[in-house]
Amino acid sequence: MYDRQVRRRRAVLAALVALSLILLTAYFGESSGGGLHSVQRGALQVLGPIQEGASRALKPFRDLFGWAGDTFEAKDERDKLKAENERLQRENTGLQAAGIENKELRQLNELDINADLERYEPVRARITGRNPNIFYSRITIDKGSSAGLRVDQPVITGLGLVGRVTTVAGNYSIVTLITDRDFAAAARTLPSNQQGTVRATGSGNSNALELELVEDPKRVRKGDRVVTAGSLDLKLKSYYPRDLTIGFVREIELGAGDLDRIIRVQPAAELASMVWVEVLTDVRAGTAQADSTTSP
Amino acid sequence: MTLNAQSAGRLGALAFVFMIVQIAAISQVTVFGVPADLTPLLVAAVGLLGGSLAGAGYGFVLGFLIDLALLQMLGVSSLIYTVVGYGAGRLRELRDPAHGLTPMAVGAVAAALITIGFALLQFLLGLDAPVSFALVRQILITIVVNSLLALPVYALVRRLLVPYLPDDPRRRRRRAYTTGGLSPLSRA
Repeated sequence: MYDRQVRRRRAVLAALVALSLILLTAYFGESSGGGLHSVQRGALQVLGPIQEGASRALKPFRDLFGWAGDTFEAKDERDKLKAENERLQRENTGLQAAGIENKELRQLNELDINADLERYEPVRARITGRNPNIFYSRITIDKGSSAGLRVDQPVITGLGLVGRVTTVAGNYSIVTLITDRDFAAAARTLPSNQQGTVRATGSGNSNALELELVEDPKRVRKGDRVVTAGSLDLKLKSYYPRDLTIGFVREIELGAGDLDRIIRVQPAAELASMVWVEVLTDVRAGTAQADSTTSP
Repeated sequence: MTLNAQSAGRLGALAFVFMIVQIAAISQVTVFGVPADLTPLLVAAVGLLGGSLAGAGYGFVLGFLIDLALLQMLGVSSLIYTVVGYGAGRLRELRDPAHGLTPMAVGAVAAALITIGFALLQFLLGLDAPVSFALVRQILITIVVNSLLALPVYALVRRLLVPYLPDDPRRRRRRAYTTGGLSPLSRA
Protein backbone atom coordinates (compact mmCIF):
# COMPACT_ATOMS: atom_id res chain seq x y z
CA MET A 1 0.00 0.00 0.00
CA TYR A 2 2.79 2.39 1.06
CA ASP A 3 4.90 1.42 -1.94
CA ARG A 4 1.99 2.05 -4.26
CA GLN A 5 1.52 5.53 -2.77
CA VAL A 6 5.22 6.32 -3.14
CA ARG A 7 5.24 5.09 -6.74
CA ARG A 8 2.13 7.13 -7.55
CA ARG A 9 3.58 10.24 -5.98
CA ARG A 10 6.84 9.92 -7.86
CA ALA A 11 5.06 9.13 -11.12
CA VAL A 12 2.88 12.26 -10.84
CA LEU A 13 5.91 14.45 -10.08
CA ALA A 14 7.87 12.96 -12.99
CA ALA A 15 4.89 13.43 -15.33
CA LEU A 16 4.43 17.09 -14.33
CA VAL A 17 8.14 17.87 -14.65
CA ALA A 18 8.27 16.10 -18.04
CA LEU A 19 5.18 18.03 -19.20
CA SER A 20 6.80 21.31 -18.13
CA LEU A 21 9.99 20.46 -20.01
CA ILE A 22 8.01 19.49 -23.13
CA LEU A 23 6.14 22.81 -22.97
CA LEU A 24 9.40 24.68 -22.44
CA THR A 25 11.16 22.97 -25.35
CA ALA A 26 8.22 23.39 -27.72
CA TYR A 27 7.79 27.06 -26.81
CA PHE A 28 11.51 27.80 -27.04
CA GLY A 29 11.74 26.15 -30.44
CA GLU A 30 8.73 27.66 -32.17
CA SER A 31 8.49 31.04 -33.89
CA SER A 32 6.36 33.89 -32.53
CA GLY A 33 3.57 32.82 -34.89
CA GLY A 34 3.55 29.26 -33.53
CA GLY A 35 0.68 27.45 -31.84
CA LEU A 36 1.68 28.04 -28.22
CA HIS A 37 2.30 31.74 -28.87
CA SER A 38 -1.15 31.97 -30.49
CA VAL A 39 -2.69 30.33 -27.44
CA GLN A 40 -0.99 32.97 -25.26
CA ARG A 41 -2.31 35.79 -27.41
CA GLY A 42 -5.78 34.25 -27.19
CA ALA A 43 -5.46 34.05 -23.41
CA LEU A 44 -4.46 37.72 -23.32
CA GLN A 45 -7.63 38.59 -25.21
CA VAL A 46 -9.73 36.68 -22.69
CA LEU A 47 -7.88 37.76 -19.54
CA GLY A 48 -7.31 41.35 -20.67
CA PRO A 49 -10.80 42.68 -19.82
CA ILE A 50 -10.69 40.89 -16.45
CA GLN A 51 -7.27 42.38 -15.67
CA GLU A 52 -8.52 45.79 -16.73
CA GLY A 53 -11.59 45.55 -14.48
CA ALA A 54 -9.48 44.32 -11.58
CA SER A 55 -6.93 47.07 -12.17
CA ARG A 56 -9.64 49.73 -11.92
CA ALA A 57 -11.35 48.10 -8.95
CA LEU A 58 -8.09 47.69 -7.02
CA LYS A 59 -6.80 51.19 -7.74
CA PRO A 60 -7.66 52.50 -4.23
CA PHE A 61 -5.70 49.61 -2.73
CA ARG A 62 -2.69 50.38 -4.93
CA ASP A 63 -2.94 54.08 -4.14
CA LEU A 64 -3.06 53.37 -0.40
CA PHE A 65 0.06 51.24 -0.44
CA GLY A 66 1.74 53.56 -2.91
CA TRP A 67 1.04 56.48 -0.58
CA ALA A 68 2.56 54.62 2.40
CA GLY A 69 5.67 53.81 0.40
CA ASP A 70 5.91 57.33 -0.95
CA THR A 71 5.80 58.79 2.56
CA PHE A 72 8.87 56.80 3.56
CA GLU A 73 10.75 58.05 0.54
CA ALA A 74 9.38 61.59 0.61
CA LYS A 75 11.68 62.93 3.32
CA ASP A 76 14.80 61.85 1.54
CA GLU A 77 13.47 63.12 -1.74
CA ARG A 78 12.54 66.51 -0.23
CA ASP A 79 16.14 67.20 0.78
CA LYS A 80 17.40 66.25 -2.65
CA LEU A 81 14.77 68.38 -4.34
CA LYS A 82 15.64 71.40 -2.20
CA ALA A 83 19.23 71.24 -3.38
CA GLU A 84 18.10 70.56 -6.93
CA ASN A 85 15.71 73.51 -6.79
CA GLU A 86 18.47 75.92 -5.77
CA ARG A 87 20.68 74.69 -8.60
CA LEU A 88 17.84 74.95 -11.12
CA GLN A 89 16.98 78.50 -10.08
CA ARG A 90 20.56 79.52 -10.81
CA GLU A 91 20.47 77.75 -14.15
CA ASN A 92 17.07 79.15 -15.02
CA THR A 93 18.33 82.71 -15.23
CA GLY A 94 20.95 81.70 -17.77
CA LEU A 95 18.52 79.52 -19.66
CA GLN A 96 15.94 82.27 -20.07
CA ALA A 97 18.49 84.40 -21.87
CA ALA A 98 19.72 81.43 -23.87
CA GLY A 99 16.13 80.46 -24.67
CA ILE A 100 15.44 83.73 -26.46
CA GLU A 101 18.63 83.37 -28.44
CA ASN A 102 17.88 79.75 -29.16
CA LYS A 103 14.40 80.56 -30.44
CA GLU A 104 15.81 83.01 -32.92
CA LEU A 105 18.42 80.51 -34.09
CA ARG A 106 15.83 77.81 -34.55
CA GLN A 107 13.71 80.10 -36.69
CA LEU A 108 16.75 80.91 -38.74
CA ASN A 109 17.73 77.30 -39.29
CA GLU A 110 14.13 76.02 -39.57
CA LEU A 111 15.06 73.36 -37.08
CA ASP A 112 12.26 71.78 -35.15
CA ILE A 113 13.76 70.34 -32.01
CA ASN A 114 10.49 70.30 -30.14
CA ALA A 115 9.13 66.88 -29.49
CA ASP A 116 6.09 67.39 -31.69
CA LEU A 117 4.44 64.17 -30.75
CA GLU A 118 1.23 64.70 -32.73
CA ARG A 119 3.01 63.75 -35.94
CA TYR A 120 3.67 60.29 -34.52
CA GLU A 121 -0.09 59.75 -34.07
CA PRO A 122 0.10 58.81 -30.38
CA VAL A 123 -2.51 56.47 -28.90
CA ARG A 124 -3.09 56.84 -25.16
CA ALA A 125 -3.31 53.58 -23.23
CA ARG A 126 -3.84 52.57 -19.63
CA ILE A 127 -1.63 50.03 -17.89
CA THR A 128 -3.74 47.07 -16.82
CA GLY A 129 -1.11 44.60 -15.67
CA ARG A 130 2.49 44.32 -14.68
CA ASN A 131 4.80 41.31 -14.57
CA PRO A 132 5.89 40.63 -10.96
CA ASN A 133 8.91 38.62 -12.05
CA ILE A 134 12.21 40.49 -11.70
CA PHE A 135 13.49 38.82 -14.87
CA TYR A 136 10.81 40.34 -17.06
CA SER A 137 10.18 44.07 -17.44
CA ARG A 138 6.83 44.03 -19.13
CA ILE A 139 3.47 45.71 -18.77
CA THR A 140 0.07 45.04 -20.29
CA ILE A 141 -1.84 47.97 -21.81
CA ASP A 142 -5.48 48.23 -22.80
CA LYS A 143 -4.97 49.04 -26.48
CA GLY A 144 -4.21 46.59 -29.26
CA SER A 145 -4.35 46.12 -33.00
CA SER A 146 -7.89 47.55 -33.11
CA ALA A 147 -6.43 50.92 -32.01
CA GLY A 148 -3.70 50.77 -34.64
CA LEU A 149 -0.95 49.31 -32.46
CA ARG A 150 1.69 47.14 -34.08
CA VAL A 151 4.73 45.29 -32.82
CA ASP A 152 7.88 47.43 -32.33
CA GLN A 153 6.08 50.75 -31.91
CA PRO A 154 7.69 52.96 -29.22
CA VAL A 155 5.90 53.71 -25.98
CA ILE A 156 6.41 56.91 -23.98
CA THR A 157 5.14 58.95 -21.05
CA GLY A 158 5.35 62.70 -20.63
CA LEU A 159 8.74 62.20 -18.98
CA GLY A 160 10.41 59.99 -21.54
CA LEU A 161 10.76 56.68 -23.33
CA VAL A 162 9.12 53.68 -21.68
CA GLY A 163 9.79 50.84 -24.11
CA ARG A 164 8.27 49.27 -27.19
CA VAL A 165 5.31 47.09 -28.06
CA THR A 166 6.39 43.46 -28.34
CA THR A 167 3.10 41.56 -28.54
CA VAL A 168 -0.22 42.77 -29.90
CA ALA A 169 -3.63 41.19 -29.46
CA GLY A 170 -6.97 42.70 -30.54
CA ASN A 171 -7.54 45.00 -27.60
CA TYR A 172 -4.45 44.48 -25.47
CA SER A 173 -0.71 44.64 -25.96
CA ILE A 174 2.43 43.77 -24.08
CA VAL A 175 5.07 46.47 -23.76
CA THR A 176 8.67 45.52 -23.02
CA LEU A 177 10.22 48.24 -20.89
CA ILE A 178 13.58 49.90 -21.42
CA THR A 179 14.87 48.15 -18.29
CA ASP A 180 14.39 44.75 -19.95
CA ARG A 181 17.60 42.95 -20.80
CA ASP A 182 16.66 43.00 -24.52
CA PHE A 183 16.54 46.80 -24.71
CA ALA A 184 19.15 48.67 -26.73
CA ALA A 185 18.87 51.95 -28.59
CA ALA A 186 21.09 54.38 -30.42
CA ALA A 187 21.39 57.43 -28.21
CA ARG A 188 23.16 60.72 -27.80
CA THR A 189 23.84 62.91 -24.82
CA LEU A 190 22.80 66.53 -24.39
CA PRO A 191 24.39 69.00 -24.16
CA SER A 192 27.67 67.09 -24.66
CA ASN A 193 26.32 65.59 -27.93
CA GLN A 194 28.06 62.21 -27.77
CA GLN A 195 26.68 59.27 -29.75
CA GLY A 196 26.44 55.87 -28.12
CA THR A 197 24.20 52.95 -27.33
CA VAL A 198 21.97 52.67 -24.30
CA ARG A 199 21.49 49.15 -22.98
CA ALA A 200 19.73 47.62 -20.00
CA THR A 201 22.38 45.92 -17.96
CA GLY A 202 20.53 44.57 -14.97
CA SER A 203 17.43 42.48 -14.84
CA GLY A 204 13.86 43.57 -14.57
CA ASN A 205 13.07 46.31 -12.15
CA SER A 206 16.59 47.33 -11.24
CA ASN A 207 16.36 50.46 -13.40
CA ALA A 208 19.90 49.86 -14.62
CA LEU A 209 20.79 51.38 -17.98
CA GLU A 210 24.28 51.96 -19.31
CA LEU A 211 25.55 54.14 -22.10
CA GLU A 212 28.11 52.23 -24.14
CA LEU A 213 30.24 52.72 -27.25
CA VAL A 214 30.42 56.45 -26.66
CA GLU A 215 32.53 58.46 -29.10
CA ASP A 216 34.36 60.49 -26.46
CA PRO A 217 33.26 59.37 -23.00
CA LYS A 218 35.36 62.04 -21.28
CA ARG A 219 32.97 64.71 -22.55
CA VAL A 220 29.90 63.13 -20.96
CA ARG A 221 28.93 64.75 -17.65
CA LYS A 222 26.77 63.61 -14.75
CA GLY A 223 23.25 64.94 -15.27
CA ASP A 224 23.49 64.97 -19.07
CA ARG A 225 20.22 64.19 -20.79
CA VAL A 226 20.28 60.99 -22.87
CA VAL A 227 17.96 61.03 -25.88
CA THR A 228 17.28 58.64 -28.74
CA ALA A 229 19.44 59.21 -31.78
CA GLY A 230 16.95 57.84 -34.31
CA SER A 231 18.24 55.74 -37.18
CA LEU A 232 21.96 55.86 -37.62
CA ASP A 233 21.84 54.06 -40.92
CA LEU A 234 19.08 54.13 -43.56
CA LYS A 235 19.22 50.35 -43.90
CA LEU A 236 18.96 49.78 -40.15
CA LYS A 237 15.86 51.62 -39.01
CA SER A 238 15.62 52.44 -35.33
CA TYR A 239 12.53 51.47 -33.35
CA TYR A 240 12.56 54.93 -31.78
CA PRO A 241 12.27 58.34 -33.40
CA ARG A 242 14.90 60.93 -32.69
CA ASP A 243 15.09 63.08 -29.53
CA LEU A 244 12.89 61.10 -27.14
CA THR A 245 14.34 61.41 -23.65
CA ILE A 246 15.59 58.06 -22.35
CA GLY A 247 17.04 59.29 -19.08
CA PHE A 248 19.81 61.18 -17.36
CA VAL A 249 23.42 60.28 -16.66
CA ARG A 250 23.34 59.25 -13.01
CA GLU A 251 26.88 58.11 -12.42
CA ILE A 252 30.16 57.87 -14.29
CA GLU A 253 32.52 55.22 -13.02
CA LEU A 254 36.15 55.43 -14.12
CA GLY A 255 37.69 52.24 -15.46
CA ALA A 256 41.27 51.05 -15.91
CA GLY A 257 41.96 52.79 -19.21
CA ASP A 258 41.82 56.47 -20.03
CA LEU A 259 38.67 56.08 -22.13
CA ASP A 260 37.28 53.25 -20.05
CA ARG A 261 34.16 54.57 -18.34
CA ILE A 262 30.93 53.00 -17.17
CA ILE A 263 28.19 55.57 -17.72
CA ARG A 264 25.05 54.70 -15.78
CA VAL A 265 21.75 56.19 -16.88
CA GLN A 266 18.63 56.69 -14.77
CA PRO A 267 15.43 56.29 -16.85
CA ALA A 268 13.47 59.54 -17.08
CA ALA A 269 10.06 57.85 -17.05
CA GLU A 270 8.77 56.66 -13.69
CA LEU A 271 8.46 53.07 -14.77
CA ALA A 272 7.32 51.72 -11.42
CA SER A 273 4.45 54.12 -10.83
CA MET A 274 3.18 55.19 -14.26
CA VAL A 275 -0.47 54.55 -15.05
CA TRP A 276 -0.89 56.00 -18.54
CA VAL A 277 1.39 55.69 -21.55
CA GLU A 278 1.28 56.76 -25.18
CA VAL A 279 2.13 54.51 -28.11
CA LEU A 280 3.60 56.28 -31.14
CA THR A 281 1.85 54.55 -34.00
CA ASP A 282 3.52 56.35 -36.90
CA VAL A 283 7.23 56.33 -36.20
CA ARG A 284 8.23 56.87 -39.83
CA ALA A 285 7.14 60.48 -39.45
CA GLY A 286 9.94 61.17 -37.02
CA THR A 287 12.71 58.75 -37.90
CA ALA A 288 15.63 60.85 -38.96
CA GLN A 289 19.23 60.25 -39.85
CA ALA A 290 21.69 60.78 -37.06
CA ASP A 291 25.15 62.03 -37.72
CA SER A 292 27.10 58.87 -37.04
CA THR A 293 27.90 55.87 -39.16
CA THR A 294 27.86 53.13 -36.54
CA SER A 295 24.63 51.42 -35.70
CA PRO A 296 23.79 49.18 -32.77
CA MET B 1 -6.87 16.80 1.84
CA THR B 2 -10.10 15.50 0.36
CA LEU B 3 -9.91 16.24 -3.32
CA ASN B 4 -13.37 16.43 -4.89
CA ALA B 5 -15.15 18.71 -7.34
CA GLN B 6 -15.93 21.24 -4.61
CA SER B 7 -12.39 21.52 -3.22
CA ALA B 8 -10.93 21.56 -6.74
CA GLY B 9 -13.38 24.34 -7.63
CA ARG B 10 -12.30 26.36 -4.62
CA LEU B 11 -8.63 25.85 -5.42
CA GLY B 12 -9.23 26.80 -9.07
CA ALA B 13 -11.12 29.95 -8.12
CA LEU B 14 -8.41 30.83 -5.62
CA ALA B 15 -5.69 30.42 -8.28
CA PHE B 16 -7.58 32.59 -10.73
CA VAL B 17 -8.35 35.36 -8.22
CA PHE B 18 -4.78 35.39 -6.88
CA MET B 19 -3.37 35.56 -10.40
CA ILE B 20 -5.60 38.48 -11.43
CA VAL B 21 -5.02 40.40 -8.19
CA GLN B 22 -1.30 39.78 -8.46
CA ILE B 23 -1.06 41.09 -12.03
CA ALA B 24 -3.52 43.96 -11.67
CA ALA B 25 -2.61 45.27 -8.22
CA ILE B 26 0.11 43.62 -6.14
CA SER B 27 2.71 43.76 -8.93
CA GLN B 28 2.16 47.50 -9.24
CA VAL B 29 2.98 48.18 -5.59
CA THR B 30 6.68 47.99 -4.87
CA VAL B 31 8.49 47.66 -1.55
CA PHE B 32 12.10 48.89 -1.83
CA GLY B 33 11.71 48.67 -5.60
CA VAL B 34 10.48 45.07 -5.64
CA PRO B 35 6.87 43.93 -6.02
CA ALA B 36 5.57 41.16 -3.76
CA ASP B 37 4.62 37.89 -5.45
CA LEU B 38 1.80 36.01 -3.77
CA THR B 39 1.63 33.12 -6.21
CA PRO B 40 4.57 31.07 -4.79
CA LEU B 41 3.05 31.54 -1.35
CA LEU B 42 -0.26 30.20 -2.60
CA VAL B 43 1.40 27.10 -4.05
CA ALA B 44 3.44 26.57 -0.87
CA ALA B 45 0.31 26.94 1.30
CA VAL B 46 -1.64 24.41 -0.78
CA GLY B 47 1.30 21.99 -0.64
CA LEU B 48 1.62 22.48 3.09
CA LEU B 49 -2.08 21.84 3.65
CA GLY B 50 -2.82 19.31 0.93
CA GLY B 51 0.35 17.23 0.59
CA SER B 52 2.83 16.64 -2.19
CA LEU B 53 0.44 15.49 -4.92
CA ALA B 54 -1.96 18.38 -4.45
CA GLY B 55 0.97 20.82 -4.15
CA ALA B 56 2.73 19.59 -7.29
CA GLY B 57 -0.46 19.54 -9.37
CA TYR B 58 -1.52 22.95 -8.13
CA GLY B 59 1.95 24.36 -8.78
CA PHE B 60 1.89 23.09 -12.34
CA VAL B 61 -1.53 24.54 -13.11
CA LEU B 62 -0.84 27.91 -11.47
CA GLY B 63 2.56 28.16 -13.16
CA PHE B 64 0.97 27.41 -16.52
CA LEU B 65 -1.72 30.06 -15.94
CA ILE B 66 0.90 32.66 -15.00
CA ASP B 67 3.06 31.94 -18.04
CA LEU B 68 -0.04 32.12 -20.20
CA ALA B 69 -1.34 35.38 -18.77
CA LEU B 70 2.01 37.18 -18.64
CA LEU B 71 3.22 35.92 -22.03
CA GLN B 72 6.29 34.39 -20.46
CA MET B 73 8.05 31.32 -21.79
CA LEU B 74 5.58 28.47 -21.25
CA GLY B 75 6.81 25.74 -18.95
CA VAL B 76 9.29 27.74 -16.87
CA SER B 77 6.91 28.73 -14.07
CA SER B 78 5.11 25.35 -14.27
CA LEU B 79 8.39 23.53 -13.67
CA ILE B 80 9.51 25.65 -10.73
CA TYR B 81 6.07 25.92 -9.10
CA THR B 82 5.63 22.13 -9.39
CA VAL B 83 8.85 21.60 -7.46
CA VAL B 84 7.83 24.19 -4.83
CA GLY B 85 4.37 22.65 -4.34
CA TYR B 86 5.84 19.15 -4.14
CA GLY B 87 8.52 20.24 -1.67
CA ALA B 88 6.03 21.96 0.63
CA GLY B 89 3.81 18.87 0.47
CA ARG B 90 6.67 16.52 1.31
CA LEU B 91 7.58 18.67 4.30
CA ARG B 92 4.08 18.17 5.62
CA GLU B 93 4.13 14.44 4.92
CA LEU B 94 7.54 13.81 6.47
CA ARG B 95 7.65 16.29 9.36
CA ASP B 96 4.04 17.30 9.90
CA PRO B 97 5.14 20.72 11.22
CA ALA B 98 2.77 22.29 13.70
CA HIS B 99 4.69 25.44 14.61
CA GLY B 100 2.80 28.66 13.91
CA LEU B 101 5.68 30.17 11.96
CA THR B 102 6.16 27.19 9.64
CA PRO B 103 4.26 28.84 6.76
CA MET B 104 6.59 31.84 7.03
CA ALA B 105 9.70 29.69 6.72
CA VAL B 106 8.12 27.69 3.90
CA GLY B 107 7.12 30.95 2.17
CA ALA B 108 10.70 32.21 2.40
CA VAL B 109 12.07 28.99 0.95
CA ALA B 110 9.40 29.01 -1.78
CA ALA B 111 10.27 32.59 -2.74
CA ALA B 112 13.98 31.76 -2.74
CA LEU B 113 13.46 28.62 -4.83
CA ILE B 114 11.37 30.49 -7.36
CA THR B 115 13.64 33.50 -7.81
CA ILE B 116 16.83 31.44 -7.87
CA GLY B 117 15.22 28.71 -9.99
CA PHE B 118 14.05 31.35 -12.42
CA ALA B 119 17.52 32.85 -12.60
CA LEU B 120 19.09 29.42 -13.21
CA LEU B 121 16.63 28.55 -15.96
CA GLN B 122 17.18 31.91 -17.63
CA PHE B 123 20.92 31.28 -17.69
CA LEU B 124 20.45 27.70 -18.91
CA LEU B 125 18.24 28.93 -21.72
CA GLY B 126 20.98 31.32 -22.75
CA LEU B 127 19.07 34.51 -22.02
CA ASP B 128 21.49 37.28 -21.21
CA ALA B 129 20.78 38.46 -17.66
CA PRO B 130 24.04 39.26 -15.89
CA VAL B 131 24.33 38.54 -12.19
CA SER B 132 24.80 41.85 -10.46
CA PHE B 133 24.61 43.17 -6.93
CA ALA B 134 21.29 44.80 -7.82
CA LEU B 135 19.87 41.43 -8.87
CA VAL B 136 21.05 39.70 -5.70
CA ARG B 137 19.62 42.56 -3.64
CA GLN B 138 16.29 42.26 -5.45
CA ILE B 139 16.18 38.51 -4.85
CA LEU B 140 16.87 39.01 -1.13
CA ILE B 141 14.21 41.73 -0.80
CA THR B 142 11.71 39.53 -2.65
CA ILE B 143 12.37 36.71 -0.19
CA VAL B 144 11.93 39.00 2.83
CA VAL B 145 8.74 40.63 1.50
CA ASN B 146 7.21 37.28 0.55
CA SER B 147 8.10 35.80 3.94
CA LEU B 148 6.16 38.58 5.64
CA LEU B 149 3.12 37.89 3.49
CA ALA B 150 3.30 34.10 3.88
CA LEU B 151 1.31 33.93 7.13
CA PRO B 152 -1.79 35.83 5.94
CA VAL B 153 -1.80 33.91 2.64
CA TYR B 154 -1.53 30.61 4.50
CA ALA B 155 -4.33 31.63 6.90
CA LEU B 156 -6.58 32.56 3.98
CA VAL B 157 -5.93 29.30 2.11
CA ARG B 158 -6.41 27.28 5.28
CA ARG B 159 -9.68 29.03 6.01
CA LEU B 160 -10.97 28.24 2.52
CA LEU B 161 -9.85 24.63 2.62
CA VAL B 162 -10.74 23.79 6.22
CA PRO B 163 -13.77 21.64 5.29
CA TYR B 164 -11.51 19.42 3.23
CA LEU B 165 -8.72 19.10 5.81
CA PRO B 166 -9.60 16.31 8.25
CA ASP B 167 -6.28 16.14 10.01
CA ASP B 168 -4.88 19.61 10.55
CA PRO B 169 -1.62 19.15 12.50
CA ARG B 170 -2.33 21.87 15.07
CA ARG B 171 -5.81 20.55 15.78
CA ARG B 172 -4.45 17.02 16.03
CA ARG B 173 -1.74 18.04 18.52
CA ARG B 174 -4.30 19.92 20.59
CA ARG B 175 -6.56 16.87 20.55
CA ALA B 176 -3.69 14.61 21.49
CA TYR B 177 -2.90 16.88 24.44
CA THR B 178 -6.45 17.02 25.76
CA THR B 179 -7.58 13.47 25.04
CA GLY B 180 -4.36 11.71 25.77
CA GLY B 181 -3.86 10.48 22.22
CA LEU B 182 -6.58 9.77 19.75
CA SER B 183 -9.78 11.75 19.51
CA PRO B 184 -13.10 9.88 19.69
CA LEU B 185 -13.61 10.79 16.06
CA SER B 186 -10.41 9.16 14.84
CA ARG B 187 -11.05 6.14 17.01
CA ALA B 188 -14.45 5.77 15.37
